[in-house]
Amino acid sequence: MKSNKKAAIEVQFNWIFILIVGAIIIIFFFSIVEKQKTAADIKLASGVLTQLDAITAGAGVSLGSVNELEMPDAGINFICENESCSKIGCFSEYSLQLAEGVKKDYSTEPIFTPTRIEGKNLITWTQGFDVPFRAVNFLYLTSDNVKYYIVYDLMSESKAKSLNKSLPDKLNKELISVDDVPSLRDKGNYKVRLIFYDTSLEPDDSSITLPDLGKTKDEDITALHVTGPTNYVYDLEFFEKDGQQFVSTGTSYALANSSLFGAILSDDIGMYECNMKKAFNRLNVVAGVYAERVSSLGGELFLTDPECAAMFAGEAYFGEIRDSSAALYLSLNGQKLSAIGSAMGNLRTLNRQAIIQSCPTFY
Amino acid sequence: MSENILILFMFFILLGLGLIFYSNVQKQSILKLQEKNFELMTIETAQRASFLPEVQCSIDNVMTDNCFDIFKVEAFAAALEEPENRQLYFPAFGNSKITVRQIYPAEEEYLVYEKIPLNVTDNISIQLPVSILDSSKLEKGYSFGMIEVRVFR
Repeated sequence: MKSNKKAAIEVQFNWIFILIVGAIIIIFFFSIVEKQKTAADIKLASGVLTQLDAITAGAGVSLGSVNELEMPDAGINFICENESCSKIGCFSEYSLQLAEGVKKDYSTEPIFTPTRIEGKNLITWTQGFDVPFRAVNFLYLTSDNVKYYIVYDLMSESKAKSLNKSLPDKLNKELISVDDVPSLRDKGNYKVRLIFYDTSLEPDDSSITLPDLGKTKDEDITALHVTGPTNYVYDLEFFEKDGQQFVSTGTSYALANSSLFGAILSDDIGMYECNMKKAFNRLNVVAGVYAERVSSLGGELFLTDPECAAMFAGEAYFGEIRDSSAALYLSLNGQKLSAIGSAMGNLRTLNRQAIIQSCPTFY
Repeated sequence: MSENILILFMFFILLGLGLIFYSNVQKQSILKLQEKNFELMTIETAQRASFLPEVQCSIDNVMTDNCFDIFKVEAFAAALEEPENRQLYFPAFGNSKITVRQIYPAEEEYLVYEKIPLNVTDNISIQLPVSILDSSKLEKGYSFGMIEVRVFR
């Protein structure tokens, strides 16, 4: 009797022991699988960020080229904090949504993108920020899953067509009339951006009723109103959808077409201004380099070519551009941008004169 | 019962050995990847330095590849002596030394950028041939030179 009882207890104890150990082994292997999954995500994220890094490094090599790259459908987040900008750059980083701890800094490189890129195809495009000399190379990133509508009215149709032609064909873009805006339909895009190019009506005009674009959230439906240019400067106003209307999120400026393209691809005014401030930091240095070059070259030419030396001695526009761009990291001042635009025009004229007179060019 | 315990003990020892082996293999793989990334970073730095608008030759804003304007090189090197400007270019160049050398007809050396960390464990150097333009001499202003980019870690 006693031995039977003992045997029974032993069997039960055995089973309990097996259950506990089995559970420990299963938990152990699940934790290994979980850690391996996290490690694989981090490895994938690092791989994509390394690829993006190579793209940003190569931005200066083949300007104007448009490329489409396949990337994991993981989503890339971009941050560029406008308020953090200083003379040495702005706090900016990009990371993959599937491993947000893996980040890459781009505090001094102007990269114009939506705040979030999703989709299987990443579109890259590069342009030079020419004012009129090359200051820095702009990199534009977007997805084929972002829809761009270039909106025109009767007066701005030809300008809008010209803008449409300037934008790469690989962009998911469409030219529409302002009357067609209420009849827009959801096409499964996670972001929609409307560019009202020199239209008399602004996006937040009460006569413009926005349709419901299905699953696309209001904050992902944005608009940009562009007027100009006057002296190479465009006036910009950024909007975000709120219900059935657009609401203004701020005004800004664009200097030259490359900045306008940046404003089109940036869906947030903060991101746009942050990247423009980085560009002006670089412009400040490059203008200083050219100013110094003109001074040195003028001195060298004094004995060998006095006519050219005289032209170089009278030049002051690089200094103007350097001085105007010096404080633009604080805020994009329309007056200073106009001053730069004005100096740009003068420099172009001066450079043409130098070419005609067979002198070394200013830039 | 004691047999079960012994079996489990052996199982966990084998598992432990397997994990140690796996982690060593992973460690080697990570070291190789680090080396590859360092080489990639060096190439990227050299690429950035070679295509910098601050030093590239240009005629009416048409940039000439593999050509440096010597007046711009001197002015840029002078600009980078200011700490703020050096910090502005640190994300692009990192811990590296960038030198432009004129080889023919005359020999000259221009130190453009230098930031060497306190403890250097390794460095890779890349040298690329370039033309060096002296804009003050329109007809025979080109010289033969090279750019050396040495990246440290």
